[in-house]
Amino acid sequence: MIPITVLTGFLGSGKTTLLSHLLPHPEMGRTAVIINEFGEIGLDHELVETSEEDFVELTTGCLCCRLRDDLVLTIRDLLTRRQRGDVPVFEQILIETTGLADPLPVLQTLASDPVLAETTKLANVVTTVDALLGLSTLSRFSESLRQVAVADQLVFTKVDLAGDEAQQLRSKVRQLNPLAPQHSAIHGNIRPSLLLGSAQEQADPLRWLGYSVSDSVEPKSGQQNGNLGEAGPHDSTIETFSIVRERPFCAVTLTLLLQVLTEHCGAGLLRLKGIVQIEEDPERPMVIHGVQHVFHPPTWLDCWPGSDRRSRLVFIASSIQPRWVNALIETLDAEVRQLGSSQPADAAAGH
Amino acid sequence: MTHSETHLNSVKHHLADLLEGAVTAWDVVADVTVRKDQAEALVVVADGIAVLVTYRQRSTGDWQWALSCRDPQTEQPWRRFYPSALTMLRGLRAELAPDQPAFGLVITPSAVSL
Repeated sequence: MIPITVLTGFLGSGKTTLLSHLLPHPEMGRTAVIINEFGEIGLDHELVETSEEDFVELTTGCLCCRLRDDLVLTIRDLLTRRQRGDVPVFEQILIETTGLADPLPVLQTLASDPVLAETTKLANVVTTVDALLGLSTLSRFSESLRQVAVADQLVFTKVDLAGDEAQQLRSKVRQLNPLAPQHSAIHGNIRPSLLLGSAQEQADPLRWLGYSVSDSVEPKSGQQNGNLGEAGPHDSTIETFSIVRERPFCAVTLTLLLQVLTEHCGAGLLRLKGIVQIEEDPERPMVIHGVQHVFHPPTWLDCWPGSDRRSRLVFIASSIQPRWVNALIETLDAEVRQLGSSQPADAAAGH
Repeated sequence: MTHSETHLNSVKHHLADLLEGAVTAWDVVADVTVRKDQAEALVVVADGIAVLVTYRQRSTGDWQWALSCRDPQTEQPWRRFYPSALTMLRGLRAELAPDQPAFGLVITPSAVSL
């Protein structure tokens, strides 16, 4: 599987500067780069120096709005050319979005295309945050909130220019996304290995789940950990919380839970990751990962990574209450178990 | 305590959170009042529409959700029945937040069955 890294961040937050410093690094060899520029005349690609092993594909328009099909076609074309030997055998893909892009539709697109799902894996979302202007941007633009909320890695830029507000910004960003490691980059200078994890590493649920364990969430309870209430109406309640459950999930209960969550709050479910104990196969944990209403195929680990076998679900979401998720789980589980207990009796009565 | 009583208690215990969380997810402002002695709740939204949500066992032994309301235009009462919380929530959303977009769960193409 070829890992894809999405580089996002608000306008002027230093994405292109970061990319310019990343690309010449030896660790970035064999990387295909796709730069999404907004407008008929792109400029960013002029600012990025490329080596022979990097190729820059340019599109115009905003990925999150109307060019998602173009993104898929671009990546498919790259994969085809790679297979034919028309381009060097790249080992990873990096997509730089426009500063105005809501990253969620982009992630959805990457996850839901059948061809890409077979050959690529979303490895990392890297979000740049302007240490100088970030506080103001977060309070004014919902796109920037969502860019921070879905990040796997956060890079603070212009830290050499920021004053006391930098610490306040870090605190706010931590509230919004307590899961993502925070890095600093001056003039884009940062080691690529800090940002570009492999697909395998990214799929490892432990980093996300370490959050819920370290925060000592009580079984069967939810915990809200972040709330930035200063943005637009749809993003005023982006929160991170975890649900921990002692009792294993019936497979049907989990399926119904995901169905209800995605059906009723697909847009508000920014990301959901979890490791789940399934009653029908309790020795092997199931890993789930979704972006809005699109979920990756669930995967099974060979064994539990530690002694803790509780199911743990970590949400980054808007307008979803932890106690609602708990109520859903308990109600759906009660129905499933009631149905299961009544079926033999019904069958017996029928005979 | 019988299995049915345990089942009913579980649903009663979580009914308020189930409905309050749902209306929050739909961005609907509503007041949810739950009866303590029964699995029954009244959901009243800002424009005055009130929907009674009940969960009870039928004589045949199976369990059923019901939504009861008075049509605001015809003033005629209606009642609809649902076999599961999943379908009941769909019905409730159709009444309280008809413009709220509904999404379908998509599992990427190489999905295996849960």
